[in-house]
Amino acid sequence: MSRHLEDIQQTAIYIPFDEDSDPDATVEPSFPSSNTAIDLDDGPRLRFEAYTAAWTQCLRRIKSIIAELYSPVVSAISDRMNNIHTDVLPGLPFPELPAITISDLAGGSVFLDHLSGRFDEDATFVNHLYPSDCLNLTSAMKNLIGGFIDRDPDAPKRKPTSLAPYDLNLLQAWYDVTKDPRPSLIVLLHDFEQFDTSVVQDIFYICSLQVERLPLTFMLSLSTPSSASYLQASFPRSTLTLLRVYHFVVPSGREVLHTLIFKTFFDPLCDFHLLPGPALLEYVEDYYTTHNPSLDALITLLQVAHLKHFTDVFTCLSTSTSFISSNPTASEQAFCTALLARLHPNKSKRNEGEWRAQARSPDILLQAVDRERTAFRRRATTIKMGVTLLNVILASLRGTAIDKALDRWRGAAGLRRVLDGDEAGVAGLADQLRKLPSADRDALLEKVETYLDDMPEALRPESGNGDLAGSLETFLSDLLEPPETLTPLWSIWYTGLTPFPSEMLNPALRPSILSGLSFPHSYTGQDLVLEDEETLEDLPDTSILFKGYVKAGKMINVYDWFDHFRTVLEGQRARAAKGKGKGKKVKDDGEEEDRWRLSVQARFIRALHELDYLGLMKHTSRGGGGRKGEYVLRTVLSVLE
Amino acid sequence: MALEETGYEKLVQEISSLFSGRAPPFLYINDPVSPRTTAHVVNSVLSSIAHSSDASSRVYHAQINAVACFNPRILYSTVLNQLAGWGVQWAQGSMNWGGERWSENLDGFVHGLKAVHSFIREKFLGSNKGKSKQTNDVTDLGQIVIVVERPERLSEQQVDILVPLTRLAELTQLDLSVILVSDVPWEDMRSPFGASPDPYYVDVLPLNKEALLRRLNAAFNGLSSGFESTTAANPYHPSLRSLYSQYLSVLLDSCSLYVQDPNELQYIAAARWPGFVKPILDAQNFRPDEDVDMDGNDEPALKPPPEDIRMRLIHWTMPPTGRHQMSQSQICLEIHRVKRNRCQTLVARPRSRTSDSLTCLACQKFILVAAYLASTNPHTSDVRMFGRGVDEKKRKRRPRKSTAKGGTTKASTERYVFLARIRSPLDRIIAILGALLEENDVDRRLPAPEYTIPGEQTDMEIARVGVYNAVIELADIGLLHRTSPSDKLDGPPTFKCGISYNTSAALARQLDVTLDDLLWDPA
Repeated sequence: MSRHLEDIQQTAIYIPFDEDSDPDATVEPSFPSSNTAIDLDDGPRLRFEAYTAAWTQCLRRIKSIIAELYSPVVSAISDRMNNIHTDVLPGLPFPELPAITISDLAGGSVFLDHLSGRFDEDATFVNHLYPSDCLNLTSAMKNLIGGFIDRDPDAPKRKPTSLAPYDLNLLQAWYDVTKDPRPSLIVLLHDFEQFDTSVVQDIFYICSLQVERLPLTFMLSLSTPSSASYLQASFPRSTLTLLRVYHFVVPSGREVLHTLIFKTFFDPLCDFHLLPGPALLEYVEDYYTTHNPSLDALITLLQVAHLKHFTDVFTCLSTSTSFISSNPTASEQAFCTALLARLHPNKSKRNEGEWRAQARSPDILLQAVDRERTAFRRRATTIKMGVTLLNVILASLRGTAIDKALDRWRGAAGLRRVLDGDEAGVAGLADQLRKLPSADRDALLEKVETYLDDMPEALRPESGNGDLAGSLETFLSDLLEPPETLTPLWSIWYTGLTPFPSEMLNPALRPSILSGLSFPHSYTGQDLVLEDEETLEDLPDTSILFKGYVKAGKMINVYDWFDHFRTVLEGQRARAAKGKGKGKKVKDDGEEEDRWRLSVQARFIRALHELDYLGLMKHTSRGGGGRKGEYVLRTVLSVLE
Repeated sequence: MALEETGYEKLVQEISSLFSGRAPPFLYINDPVSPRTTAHVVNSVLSSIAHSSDASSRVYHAQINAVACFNPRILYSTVLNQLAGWGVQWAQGSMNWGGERWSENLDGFVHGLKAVHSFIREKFLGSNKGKSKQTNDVTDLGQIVIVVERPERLSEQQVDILVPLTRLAELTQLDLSVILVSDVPWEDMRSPFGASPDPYYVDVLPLNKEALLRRLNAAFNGLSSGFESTTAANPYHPSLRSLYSQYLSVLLDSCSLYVQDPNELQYIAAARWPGFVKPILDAQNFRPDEDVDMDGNDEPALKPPPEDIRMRLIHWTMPPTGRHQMSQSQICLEIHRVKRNRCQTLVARPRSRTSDSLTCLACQKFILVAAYLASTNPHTSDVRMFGRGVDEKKRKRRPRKSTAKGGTTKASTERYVFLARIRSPLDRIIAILGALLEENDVDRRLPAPEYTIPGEQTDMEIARVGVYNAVIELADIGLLHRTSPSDKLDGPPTFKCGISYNTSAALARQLDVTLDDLLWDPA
């Protein structure tokens, strides 16, 4: 914990709730379950392990793909860095300050992490500056200088009579005594668009005066696609003349998304625990293109998808099955029964014997699961090959006459169309292929043949029955048969049409708050009480107050509101008394009554303030008393109950 | 004569004659064209005087830049350290000269200057101890000179320093001279009520063509002297000197009409020269009997600067051609572009983005269009423009009145471009966004069977974190202008739209929204 608190790179720190605040107590991760009734005793642990294995594998794959995607730009930048202060055009009137712009539409830290990973820590000092560090010139210079000189833990102590901490000469003095080989100094400005341009202008000017003796390099991280036009538009010419700018563009956009998705999940050579279904793919593409194009967000999204998937009770079977003893306990019994029911959704005469055997012995049942798994893996590989073949075809037809018509099979959205059993799949591809001119067709055939040569013998199509386009389409649709048809247990390895829990990543603020106030129990996880029988008295104070709020008019009289609240609390009290039985005589003395009244008032005020903090009311002076008037104004109207 | 003084002989002469006697305590050098060059020249003259053999005419000078010395403390310490010839040592805690608190305020600075003066005197006496005893007279010591570059920044940000700086000789009672070098006339930055004394004015005229030519040639000579011994082909080889001066005269003939700053001209000359001389060098390299030069080492040096790295030349110059020589008309064309583009950049200074740089997310596009509508339409028109009856399934689109008359369309469009922008609260922008989404985005959405009431899904969509996040991002990159203080919690923040009519129309077209139908037309 303390390690996180001291790390200045962390922008947010999560301090988990610790009930007895004992630092030694380790809390077992409790993994949620889709159906606790049939879950195994250590099901959460097993599923968590399965999740960890699957996600680690997936993340590693994603990271290596990202590294591959970024490596050309990263090495271009580091090549440029190597001679950025020596490769200078001779004869210039004064030295220019080298600046590298990195325009990364995706934003986020992924690319910059890759880049800083490339630099040698001892030879390259990178100073990260954020817009909040540079609100004015003094603090900007102080951070710029401090970022370098504070690395030295045993720097000589400076006195008030020393150089000012925002004086660039201080950095110069530090640089003059650094040992050979001198480190290269990089100032990395994150979110460059958010910097105050006048401050940045002055920084550039000051640093350019000393660049000959103090070789600083500026790196500007922008999220504007065209950094040249951004610089032109935001800075005067007098500043631009000081700079020698090199522009680099980080790959981003749909292409990156598709490469990532295909290479991660649909590479036939990679055997993954989880195959994403159409619904997930569609959501990923939608979220990436409309809301957040950053890779950080994409990775989080996939991780949430994994987490969600492994809440399914049966996913503990995703890789291994050797955990049910021959003498099953009660929970294991329940699990097996449910599994058996899942395995045989419609019992028929034909497989009744099999059913009996599996019902009798968990081992036989689990062997059946093993068989299903192997079958699913094989099918998954087939699908991946189909997807790859489709991509080969689509790639080779790029730029031809039918390019536009093929767009509906492209990308993650296209994948959804192909994998969704209800959609047309690849139907219609043959018609398009028939329209191809012969030269393009020959090129396509060549590509397809090279691809098919690498395929396993068993999967290759029978050759030649004249209509090539038609047979290609049939072949593809055979390969791409939706996995739901293969095994009743498909949901262990395939997300299918399960919708992504989008509320987790992109919640709607106001509706969530309101529904949280209206139905608090469905958020606190105590939703086992049947909703129909829930009365006002079961709710927490704030929600009771909120119910009154919803029913009121535009203005609420606070006293009436309190009255309503008190009535409900009285009801609560009476019920509690009844619950305890008549055994304990309720004393009717005045002191007790006074205390109760006070506590009702206190509870009311607390609940009122909670609603106030949520911004649900506006105080008025109606009824006298300035802002403490008798009436409050509702700020949220027309709440759906 | 030093390289940087070439062409500025008149200024050099004036300065040196001033400092051969007693220079006035306050000089103001005004060079409207290139103050940076002038400051270099002044410094170079002063440095040469500083080493003169005659002790009485020596000067001890410090040169500071008012932008770099953005704070009094930096200014004071820089001046004192330079005058005392003090090199700051990192190992000794980066101590300033003297180790006293002279940089804290003006009083300390005055004391510091006196201390520097006596330090200089002692050093001087110490070095002259054996030679003559009669040099005790302080006046023989020479002057202290402080050169301030870009002093206009002082009058903008540190007004309280400017007046004492101009009266420094009075304050310290020392033989001292302050020189301000600026492109702004003194009248524009002097403090009111005559707080500063009148300076001794020195005006620097723009260089004539002959002086420019000499200056640029001198720069080339300085470069080429490093290559004298080499025989390899090189764009800076001394044998190319005559070609270079021809090249310069062509360049100056066309450029000097428009650009007078010697720095700019030197830049253009330096950036274009490698491309200009390349064909000749290529011819030289491919001479069959000279295989020594074929080793390729020179190749990188021969490449013209890549287009993308030369910000200043992006629009200014043509890509280097393989042709033997750039004709006069080509250079003229370039200059024409230079002028045109400079005007464009100047006009484009208020943050406006071209539409091609606007490749943002669909969600952001909708927000921008909504914000544009919110800041163009008066809020009283919202119900009529976006409201819809409870029972109506689709809002009836108001038929556009002005489409019939072509003339009015144009006029009204122009009016929108220049219309004063209305500040509108975030909630209004979000509400208009909801109306836009309901009309135009429903078909593109993912199926969500859980929403049953018409419009419910839109209500959820516009309340999402992503939307608020996008608004903040847009405000950060300046496409929305936040008009309320960001630390105010009470009430919704207000925004103005930062994009033009044309840009928002382009965005609307990408979204299949007809923007003109949604703009309120009071006519």
